[in-house]
Amino acid sequence: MEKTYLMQVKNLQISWHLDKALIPIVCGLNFSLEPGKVLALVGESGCGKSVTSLSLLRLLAKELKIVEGEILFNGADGDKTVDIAKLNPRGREIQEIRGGMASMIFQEPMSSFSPLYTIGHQIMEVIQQHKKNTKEEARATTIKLLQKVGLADPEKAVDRFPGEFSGGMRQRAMIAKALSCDPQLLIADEPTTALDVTIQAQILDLMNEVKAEFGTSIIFISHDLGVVGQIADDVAIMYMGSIVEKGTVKEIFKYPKHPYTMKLLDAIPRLGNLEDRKRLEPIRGSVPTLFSRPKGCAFHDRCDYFMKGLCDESFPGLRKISEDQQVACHLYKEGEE
Amino acid sequence: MSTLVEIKNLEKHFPVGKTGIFGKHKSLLKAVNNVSFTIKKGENLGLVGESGSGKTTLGRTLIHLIEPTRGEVLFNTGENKIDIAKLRRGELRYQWRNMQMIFQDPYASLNQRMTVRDIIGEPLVANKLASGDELNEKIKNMAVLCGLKTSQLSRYPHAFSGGQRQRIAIARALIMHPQFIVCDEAVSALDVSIQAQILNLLKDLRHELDLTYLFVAHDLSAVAYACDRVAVMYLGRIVEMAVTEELYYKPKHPYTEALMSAIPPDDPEVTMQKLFVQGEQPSPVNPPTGCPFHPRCKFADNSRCVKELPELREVSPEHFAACHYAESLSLKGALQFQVKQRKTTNNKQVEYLNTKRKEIMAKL
Amino acid sequence: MLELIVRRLGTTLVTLFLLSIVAFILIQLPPGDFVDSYAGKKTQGGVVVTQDELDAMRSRLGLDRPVYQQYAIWMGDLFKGDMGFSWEYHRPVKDVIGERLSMTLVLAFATLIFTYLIAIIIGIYSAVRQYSIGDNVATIIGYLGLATPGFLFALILMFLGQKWFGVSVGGLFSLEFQDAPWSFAKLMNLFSHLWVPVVVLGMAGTAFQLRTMRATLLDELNKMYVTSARSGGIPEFKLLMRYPVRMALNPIASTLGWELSKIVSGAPIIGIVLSLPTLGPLYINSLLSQDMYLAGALILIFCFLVIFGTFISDILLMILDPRLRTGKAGVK
Repeated sequence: MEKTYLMQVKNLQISWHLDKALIPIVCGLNFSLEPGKVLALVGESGCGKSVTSLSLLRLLAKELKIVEGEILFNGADGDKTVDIAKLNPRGREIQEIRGGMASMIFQEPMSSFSPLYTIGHQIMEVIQQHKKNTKEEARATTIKLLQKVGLADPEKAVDRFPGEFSGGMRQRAMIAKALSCDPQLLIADEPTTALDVTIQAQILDLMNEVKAEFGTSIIFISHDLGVVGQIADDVAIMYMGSIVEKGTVKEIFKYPKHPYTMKLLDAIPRLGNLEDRKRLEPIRGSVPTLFSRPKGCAFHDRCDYFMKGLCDESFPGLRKISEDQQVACHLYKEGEE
Repeated sequence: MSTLVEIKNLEKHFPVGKTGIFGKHKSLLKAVNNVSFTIKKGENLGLVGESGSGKTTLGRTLIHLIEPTRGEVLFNTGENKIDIAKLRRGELRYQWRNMQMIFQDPYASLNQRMTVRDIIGEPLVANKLASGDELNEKIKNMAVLCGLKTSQLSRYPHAFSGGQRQRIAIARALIMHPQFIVCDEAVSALDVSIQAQILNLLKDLRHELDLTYLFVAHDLSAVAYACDRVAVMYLGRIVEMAVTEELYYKPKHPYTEALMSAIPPDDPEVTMQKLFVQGEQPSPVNPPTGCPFHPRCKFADNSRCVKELPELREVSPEHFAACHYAESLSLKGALQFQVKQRKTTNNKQVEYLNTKRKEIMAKL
Repeated sequence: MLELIVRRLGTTLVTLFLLSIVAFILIQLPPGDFVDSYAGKKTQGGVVVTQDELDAMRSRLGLDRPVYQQYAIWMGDLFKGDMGFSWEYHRPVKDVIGERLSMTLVLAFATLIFTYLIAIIIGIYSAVRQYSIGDNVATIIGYLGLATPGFLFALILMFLGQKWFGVSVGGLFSLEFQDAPWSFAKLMNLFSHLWVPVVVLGMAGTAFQLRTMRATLLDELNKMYVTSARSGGIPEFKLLMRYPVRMALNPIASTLGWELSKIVSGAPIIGIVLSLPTLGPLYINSLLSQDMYLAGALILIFCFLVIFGTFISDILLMILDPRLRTGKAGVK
């Protein structure tokens, strides 16, 4: 059964190591990704979605450590499962996975290339790292990739420096770099957030093409539900380091179950009915800081359905309420909608 | 409604590139290029555009935070009209009591070494407008109005979340009771749930304090919610300007249509239509001839659009567009790309959850 | 790139020319001239010098002419390769400077290489292993190095050398080699002495550049492009060297000219303390005795070294950062 997953994350816990204290950032995540699917991790800033995405390839900064959990990856040939969480983050095994079987796209296209080397050089370097290619072969592949991601004049673009590219072009080049070794998994950390709307639409388009053409599985990190709706198959909503609701895109968007998800969807300004716009419905209060995590359900002090003695006492685990949907809220019982 | 600010042929050029032998710059970046429009008293005028469109520069040039290259900004104080663009430092300082700015980054725009009380009161102190108990009273009132607690006033900015910091910034901007506020991407750095709080706050304050806003933002949805009228900028020029619903639902400029088509629909079952615009905004240093949008416009012809710059003109009452073919094009608006729905959750669901809550509470 | 280098060379020449004027003015600035100081010395020695003798001497040396003419003569001779005559030493300036120049160059460049090699290697180590024991030790030594004046350090080294090892750490050669012709043994002897002035001269610079390297690299290590390159599976050492280190070398390379000038200007005092056969002590003497042509030549040489250092640092920067080569830095 397990072999149908490309990646399976079990009870992932990540902490921030301060001088003496251990601040939990990610508190027991469970999710899995089937081949060819797009899973979106959605949440507001500070919910731990970016940290999670970095941890999947062991790219966390020194102060952040995986304290518990497994990151099972079935990338190699499908019969060998690697627990990425157990690998040495500076070791050879993880380096083979990075850029080879799994690669990553980042939010800031402006700073995710070194300004000192040409775009082509930085892509070719990845290709030559993973394949026994000559420089000429790698260059030819790079040009093909740049063409595929829609960069005009790829023969020239390959020798350009990142400073000569616009944000949109760099994000295309970043995608080319991520795809250079035909990865099975693509982790995209807010890939469109820093872009203008028209460019965002183009990049989304491109990613959907990639998904269709290469069958790449994608873990898509975003705070923008609209964007997520256009690319994801499954969505996990995160709040303060844990998943509060998980399901298919349709279920989450049309029939949200968790009070936080409901509130989040209603807070978005929508263009659907401008004549009727009066006030938005914000979520009251603000996200607690990492140092003052509420006891029990982390959302309880902002929730309309707060139940004293329950929500502020015990942490609600994820419960399956239908085939397609799981929710972490005391209002729901396993199997009951 | 009377006019509060009238902008006439405002321009702001920045020299770019290397200097030649005689210290002359090779080229000019026309960030704001011959812009004329009016801001009505009491309205919230949205100014949208992609990065590099010049919207931020326009906002700053308008209140003379940046020296305009040429043009007029006539500010109606009630008694007379003052040309802000021509004012010198001293007079400007005085006039700035009437116009304030709220910035995007509430982390960077607050002095980290001052208490919230001092930050909010600083403009009053600097202009010697209040002191002692009166000052304290004013600070307290404004803080409460902006949704801060008086008990928080002696804390420092780092103890606050992004949304609360933006409240502090707003309180400071409003403490001298200005008439006009430029909100420069004021909610862009905030999460949606907090963004909604601040948008609501700005709306309440506008009615309460009789304010006029210029709301500069790149987020079209937030602008749609906040603003009565919206102006769209492209390469330093205003290409369309109309009442919000008009502009979003019946755009007259192909660029506005393109922007509408680029917003992801709220419903995942509605697939985004193929983008109505290709390529990227060209460099403002070297803008295209004729209509600046013509290289990306699917309606552009090879003669007029390439050669002749379309003026911003009134296409229908109160609806301005800078397109040669504004009348004849039938363009799609946001509704053709979006779902006609405003909220996800309905009362039935809320009711259901409330009964459930009661049941569970009863068992406890 | 070639064009840039040529242009840079052009400005270097112009700067040198302007500096020669400044140098000449500087030499003329103190009251009196060589003849005055010569007369002063003679009088102290009990010899009576008449005004006629002095005047004759002045006209012989050309000191009675207007300043601009003196400058023109000096410049004209310089272009012919003649640096003038040292009145103090009664020998052509070229001969006086002679071997001392090569020793000075050896010392300056050895110091420069020492400074950068140590600063870069330890800087990288310190940044990558931030707050490790090694980093802390390097930090403490670095601050000590910054805070200790060079001459004091030289004196301490000399004292310790005498007291504990019974060796003289002064000079660049042992006695037996001082006037010996060049040989392999003499070269070895030079190296065995060279490290003391190199360490003394380079200490402050090394400490400073080490701090810079560490701080810049720490900044760079946290940049997105490093994580991004890492996500491509580039092995750690290769990644470190090619991405953040190359970026962090930038501020280091750009201060190379400045560092060289500090070495050159710090050299005289340390040269005296350690009695080195370099230009430093000669320079101070020539200024004291107003030995015009010698002082002028030395100032020019020092200026040239500094400008040359800046030139080298510009070239290094161009090699390190392609944006400077292509001139496309600000294109968005």
